Amino acid sequence: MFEPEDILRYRSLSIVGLAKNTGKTECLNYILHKIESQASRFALTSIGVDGERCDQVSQTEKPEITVPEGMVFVTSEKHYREKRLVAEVLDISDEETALGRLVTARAIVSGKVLLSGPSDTGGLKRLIARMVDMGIQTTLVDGALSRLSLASPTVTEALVLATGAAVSGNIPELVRQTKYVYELIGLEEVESGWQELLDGTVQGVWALGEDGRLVDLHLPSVFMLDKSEHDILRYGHRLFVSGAVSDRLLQYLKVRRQPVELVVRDFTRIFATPESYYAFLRKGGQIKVLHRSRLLAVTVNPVAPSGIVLDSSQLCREMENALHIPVYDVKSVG
Amino acid sequence: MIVRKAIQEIRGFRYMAEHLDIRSGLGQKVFYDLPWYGSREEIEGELERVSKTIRAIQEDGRRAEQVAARLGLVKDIRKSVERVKEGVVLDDLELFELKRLALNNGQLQELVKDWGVVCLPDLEGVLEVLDPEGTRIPHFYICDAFSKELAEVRAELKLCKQRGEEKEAELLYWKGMELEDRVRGELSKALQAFVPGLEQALSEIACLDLLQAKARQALDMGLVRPVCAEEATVFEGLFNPQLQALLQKEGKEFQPVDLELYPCATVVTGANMAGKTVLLRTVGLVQCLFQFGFYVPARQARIVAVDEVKTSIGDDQDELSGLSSFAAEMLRIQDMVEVIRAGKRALVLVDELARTTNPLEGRAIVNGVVDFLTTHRTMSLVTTHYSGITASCRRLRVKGFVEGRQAGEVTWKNINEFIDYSLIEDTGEKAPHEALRIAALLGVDKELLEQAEKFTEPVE
Repeated sequence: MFEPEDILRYRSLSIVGLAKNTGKTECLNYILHKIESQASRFALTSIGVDGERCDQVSQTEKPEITVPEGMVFVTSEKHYREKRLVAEVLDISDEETALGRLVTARAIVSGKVLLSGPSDTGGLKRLIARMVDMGIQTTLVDGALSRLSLASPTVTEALVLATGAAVSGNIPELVRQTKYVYELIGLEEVESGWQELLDGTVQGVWALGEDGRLVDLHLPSVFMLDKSEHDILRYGHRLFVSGAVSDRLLQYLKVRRQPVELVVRDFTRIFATPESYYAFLRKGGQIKVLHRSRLLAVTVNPVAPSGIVLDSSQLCREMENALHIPVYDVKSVG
Repeated sequence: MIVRKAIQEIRGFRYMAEHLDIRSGLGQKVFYDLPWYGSREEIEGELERVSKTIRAIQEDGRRAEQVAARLGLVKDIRKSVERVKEGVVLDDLELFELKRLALNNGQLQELVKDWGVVCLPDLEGVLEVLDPEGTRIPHFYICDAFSKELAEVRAELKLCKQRGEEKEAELLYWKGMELEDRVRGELSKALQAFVPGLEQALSEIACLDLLQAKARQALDMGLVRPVCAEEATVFEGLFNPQLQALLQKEGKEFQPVDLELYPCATVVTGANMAGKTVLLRTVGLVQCLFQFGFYVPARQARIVAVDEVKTSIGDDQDELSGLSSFAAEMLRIQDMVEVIRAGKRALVLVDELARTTNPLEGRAIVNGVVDFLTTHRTMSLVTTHYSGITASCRRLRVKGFVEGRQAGEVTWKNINEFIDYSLIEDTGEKAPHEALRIAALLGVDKELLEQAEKFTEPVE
């Protein structure tokens, strides 16, 4: 797994961590190491400002990314100036980020750099398109699974999920939580007709009418749902929620007179706990997404910043049994 | 006055600015700071360049597209050039930008060499400094060709990395960085000689961008090259591009008008809805376009250059400033008087002067202002509904409402189609009385209007 050819099949791939310190950076460095021989066919960037050299929460050091020789990378002006490698500037874009314009460069001699990229989905899409124009085959994105991130990793065609002891020190619990996200990533896509219609819908709660029409329910936020005087299912049982899906929303929808089919932008919009998600499904509820990415693999980091170290082989085995996709320990395979 | 200010002050100019297809970030920034051309020579020079650009676009549209695309790649790097001038050591990003500018400049020079509108400098010297390998590709780094020593250090660094000698590699990396910095210092110094050329490239490229945008706008909107005149401004087929576009969307047509302006006050009368305000705004807009070297919306135009356009046209800003509409109007009049007394050439446009006060004094104020404008030989348009303007002036009247101009019944929806907007010379000093008739057409209560009719006798 992670042979260059496996990844080159996709135009873009993002690496996302289930929580902080789940080894996302090790995972990325590991992939970079594996594809080193074909570096010039790849580009590398990140979602948003990810700039602290040191993690603000746990005070653990955040490793820089080592860009292999010949690979194209995109980072902000600020981080470009702080780079620790020999690189050739290929382009400076007009798009401004909090850390300045985005610089596209090619590593002449491998070395370390902090990555920062476009801060929203549109910017990331444009960047990937630009890389394709430059003849890059696959763009790797250091992703984020955060409520704070405006850019969704599902813009990329494929995903690698990093998980680990930082999520839970208990193997069954860690597997359960990872499996939950794995299931969310696998949520079915809505029919393409709706997809086009909903892509441009950035706000509010909408009913997907049986006649194919989209009806605004005039709810500024899903938090106002239970305040609604009208029956929210008056136009049909399918709803599109542009924002976050919370426990409260699922609990509210669960007790409607008929099962609800909920459409969300992508799996990162779902912030509900596994408990309320599964309860919603048991009542006949369904969730679909506008965009789905293919999950290629899961990597695990058996070490947590708290000091907990899990048994790597047991963790990988149990994880693989639950998910049926390749699972790697980023610490041991490197 | 600069473009940025004119956009705020002259209604309709924003529309023209927004419909200007300036391609580069540089051009955009330069455009907003463009000055008002005061002299006939400056205006004619710019109009001649626009005219040449239009010809070039018509002769070779594909080449013009290439020019536009190339312009889109030019960034505003005036700050980086400033830093070269100051003797600062530039970083790779700035050096990259300078190299890109030099390359774009060269490409544009080749593309527009026959246009004869701008004078792009020769920046081959900059490329010789920044592109020692002669690749002429817009990529940049301190490559091995800059320093033999650096090349050796890098070769060794690569070997160390392959052998996994991290510590050694670290040392070599920093040694390389030092050497790179030394090269950057040398390059920055060598570039100082080219500062005038770089500055010229930036200003000429901005100028070219603006010219192609003006030329495209002239072609798109059907604008005409105005002729500089000395005595009188003469328009044939004057139109308002924004309103024309709006009407076209509704399937209607804008009626162009003919107008002559002499160095005196011209009083314009006409019924309500006769387009007097639009006329004033359009004349203000056209003068402004002319002064910034644009083609203008008319079939033919001869225009006298002025230093300022002074307007007092029904403005919704009055309430915001905390003044009554009358007070705000009087302050604007005072402003005009000061400008004219200071000996500046001004075009004055006043809409329904003193309409918000009593008719007796209102008429007196109009007479006073008209007299002042004529005495000071100020080219001006003053609209009014007052009769009895006896001060010396030229008089025009909008033909106005013509029953039977169109087939069918007149309603408030189609009333515009029954109005003839053309201007005719007027001899009397009596303003047309059509307000009641138009109010009736608009469907105002019949009984009320009959009652009003009884009060139309003078009150003397």
